[in-house]
Amino acid sequence: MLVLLLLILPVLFVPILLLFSEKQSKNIALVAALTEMCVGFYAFYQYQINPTCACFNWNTIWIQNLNANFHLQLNGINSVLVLLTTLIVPFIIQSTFERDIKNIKAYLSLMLIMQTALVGVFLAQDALLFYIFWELALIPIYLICLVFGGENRQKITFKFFVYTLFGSLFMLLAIIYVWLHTENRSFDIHSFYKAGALLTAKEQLFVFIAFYLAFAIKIPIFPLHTWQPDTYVNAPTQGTMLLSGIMLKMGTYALIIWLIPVVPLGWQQASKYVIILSVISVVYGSLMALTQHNFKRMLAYSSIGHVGLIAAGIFTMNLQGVQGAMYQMLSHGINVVALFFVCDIITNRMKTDEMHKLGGIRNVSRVFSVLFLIILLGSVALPLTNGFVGEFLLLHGLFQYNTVVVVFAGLTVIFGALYMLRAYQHIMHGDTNALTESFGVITVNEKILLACFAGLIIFFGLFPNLILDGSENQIKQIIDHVHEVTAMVVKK
Amino acid sequence: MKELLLLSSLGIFALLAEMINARKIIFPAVIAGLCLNIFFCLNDIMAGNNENIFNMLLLDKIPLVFTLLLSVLAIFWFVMAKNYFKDETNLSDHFALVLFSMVGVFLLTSYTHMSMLFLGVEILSIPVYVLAGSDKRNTYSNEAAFKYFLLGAFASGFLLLGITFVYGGTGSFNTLQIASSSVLGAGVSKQLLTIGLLLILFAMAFKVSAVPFHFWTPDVYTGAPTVVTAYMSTIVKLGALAGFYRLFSIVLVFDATTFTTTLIIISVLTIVVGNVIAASQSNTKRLLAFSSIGHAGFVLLANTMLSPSTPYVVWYYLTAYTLSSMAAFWVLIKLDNHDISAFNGLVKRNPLLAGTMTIALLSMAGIPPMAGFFAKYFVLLNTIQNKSVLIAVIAILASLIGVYYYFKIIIAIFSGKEINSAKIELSWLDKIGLVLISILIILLGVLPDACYNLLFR
Repeated sequence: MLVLLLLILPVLFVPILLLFSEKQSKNIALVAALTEMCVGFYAFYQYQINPTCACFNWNTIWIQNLNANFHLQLNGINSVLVLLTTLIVPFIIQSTFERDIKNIKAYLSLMLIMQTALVGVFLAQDALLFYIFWELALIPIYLICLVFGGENRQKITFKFFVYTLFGSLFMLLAIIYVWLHTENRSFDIHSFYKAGALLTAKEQLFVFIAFYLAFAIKIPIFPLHTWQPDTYVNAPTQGTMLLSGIMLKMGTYALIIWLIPVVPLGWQQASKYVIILSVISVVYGSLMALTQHNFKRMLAYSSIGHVGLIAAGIFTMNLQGVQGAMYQMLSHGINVVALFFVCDIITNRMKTDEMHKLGGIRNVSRVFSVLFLIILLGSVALPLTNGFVGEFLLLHGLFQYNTVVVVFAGLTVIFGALYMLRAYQHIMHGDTNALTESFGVITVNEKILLACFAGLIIFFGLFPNLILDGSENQIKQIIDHVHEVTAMVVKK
Repeated sequence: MKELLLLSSLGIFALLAEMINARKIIFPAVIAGLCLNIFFCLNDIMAGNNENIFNMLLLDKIPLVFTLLLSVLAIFWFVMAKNYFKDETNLSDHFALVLFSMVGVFLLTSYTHMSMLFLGVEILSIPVYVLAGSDKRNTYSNEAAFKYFLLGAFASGFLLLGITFVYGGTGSFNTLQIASSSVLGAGVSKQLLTIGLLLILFAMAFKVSAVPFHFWTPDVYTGAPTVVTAYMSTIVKLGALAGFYRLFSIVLVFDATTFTTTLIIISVLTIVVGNVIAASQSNTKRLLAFSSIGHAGFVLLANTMLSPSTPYVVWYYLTAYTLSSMAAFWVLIKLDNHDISAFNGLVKRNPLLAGTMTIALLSMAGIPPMAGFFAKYFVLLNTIQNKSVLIAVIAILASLIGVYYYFKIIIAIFSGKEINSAKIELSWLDKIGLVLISILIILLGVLPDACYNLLFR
């Protein structure tokens, strides 16, 4: 029951929200998101105490002919992502406060619908249901970017849409293909694991590629990333936050749950190449971030670098790598949303995010500069911040896999510090110029949000076990399953 | 039998009503009659009746569910057309013609005799020839009617020739007999039968506007008055495709491989050509015409993969497509012109129209959770089950092109700069109809097997 509540709560608030005035609607949306957050916290907490509770499982027949069930389940891995989603959305909604947005009601409703779809993607234990939510998440974010985005948005959002749809259609083919090979034709995730393992190595490779296309586009991994920078820059702030903070985690989450354990042999054959691609994204994203003059675009490229590392860690399929990826998904979600919020604060006041035009904001607003620095250090992965735990585990995992790879992947730490601190220097340090003099102080609302972000960054830097303990068991199971299947083939 | 009688008597009533000064009650009477028809169909389906009418028509489950869909669509169409014909004096001829052509659809869904196939096609087509030209002062409308009539008459010739060949080959007009004697092969001339069936196949392919028999479609769709185009792209398509299904599922089973190969080639061509040409259109009516060709291709593809689930797959695809297409045309009627730019900023001019159009287009593009997604899904599933993964990939890529042109309209709706910023007013009937049709599209998509459990079990 609890999982169903988690799923539908945001959508239930949409009609209520539409009844209220434009001004009130922001508050209603925030109430909705906060209620959802409380339920999310409660579910996460309950799961740590009593993971076998029946309230974490919801299974009803959905399409009888196809043997598809409406099966939602909270487990060790997705509880972290549900926590992330429910935690971040209130921030995203609150960031609309004090901003003048036309059609705010539609905007907020789309965000709440988006939240339902995202939670659905994470909770679904049935391949068809997963696919439906996966696609459903695309429509609200597309509309958010199309209606509320910046200039030239038609072309850019369209590119984004077609890219992701192209990937998902191949995923659909793969899902149908595996489904046809399951015992008694079921979409259930466990029968997918069973059926996938029995496919021949060649078939598994094809299924792997089809799934990988969908997920790699969503994440995005080099060379399928070309939609990402333009879309991030052109989308409205909240759209960028949703995209980078939560939506790309759909891809990395699906790598762990829906890709590797379904076709372990496919992973075995392809892991070398996909890890190399992921590491290329790390280096490429970081280098591109170094050359950017636009703050938002720099963040977009840095995001490519960070998620590339997450994907590489997942493909190593050892405990440290995958656990690190889990943790980094959470911390990257928090950090990147916080950074985009900082970017929004700057662009809202300065009307530009070209870094060379800015400078000296530190002299104008001390509080802002301190909070910005903490958030930035989280992204640089300084010890005691959340970014450190994730990146450390990821690099540890990669190290076990191959030492050469880790040398290149490790560049992210150096480059990350380089471009982030360079950005900080350009924006905050130096002399105040005519433009930045008008920066003024930041409002209470912004202060609260930034302080919360900073608090979360330090909190998760200090207590990583809160998250890691919960997901460890299930990740072990998945890794064991994968290695069992691949070992069996070697014996044969 | 009662469905047939009801539809015909409604048509006659609509024709005579204006004479007896009952013009005002035509609309309510027609709607009430169609509701009664829905009730009859549901009743027969639930009771599991298998009515055999003079060995000419066989009303088993599948014709009845198609008739049910026909009646639902017809109700939507009449509500949509009510305001359109307001200014014109001859309301009753329009309504009567449409009702008569629906009788043709009914015959096509249920025939077991070749003469009924021919009669069905003719009864369906002749009123539509007239309707296509009903905008008398518009040259394009006249062109459409003339073109449609000439080519349609030509196709009817083929059909008739095909039927005679089949008769020559098997000595029977009864489809069930043709099928059984052709399987046994005794006293059957295989050449005559094959030629005859191919001729019938081509004539029917003309009616469903499958490639390469599709050339009439864009001109006729563009030229005809928009309500008539809506009628052609929904109910006429339904009739033609239902007739096609009946032909293929009963008669052509004996030499399935020849016809399946032919039909697979036709359907893949139809899907690809329809979608590719639609992508370059800037007139919405023309765009929808080409996209309707693409959708017909999908239904044909479903027809080729005969399995126990085929009737439901065909029915579901037709339901999803016709409802979405009806909704799209409904919105189109309310706009100033038919260029895509007429959609610019529609969301500000009327959010309901914008929402309905978006739902309809998403459904036609096959995006979940709209009905169109499962429609395509079922077809692809059948195709892959038949080991034709390559065809499935082609169909998927073609439908990706579909996304391109449907989204041109969606982009215009939400972010185009409006040329005319006047708000669009809707009558309450329009509002109810649009909301209902949108809900149906979403409900069908969320619960794709509800209808199966209700109607087909």
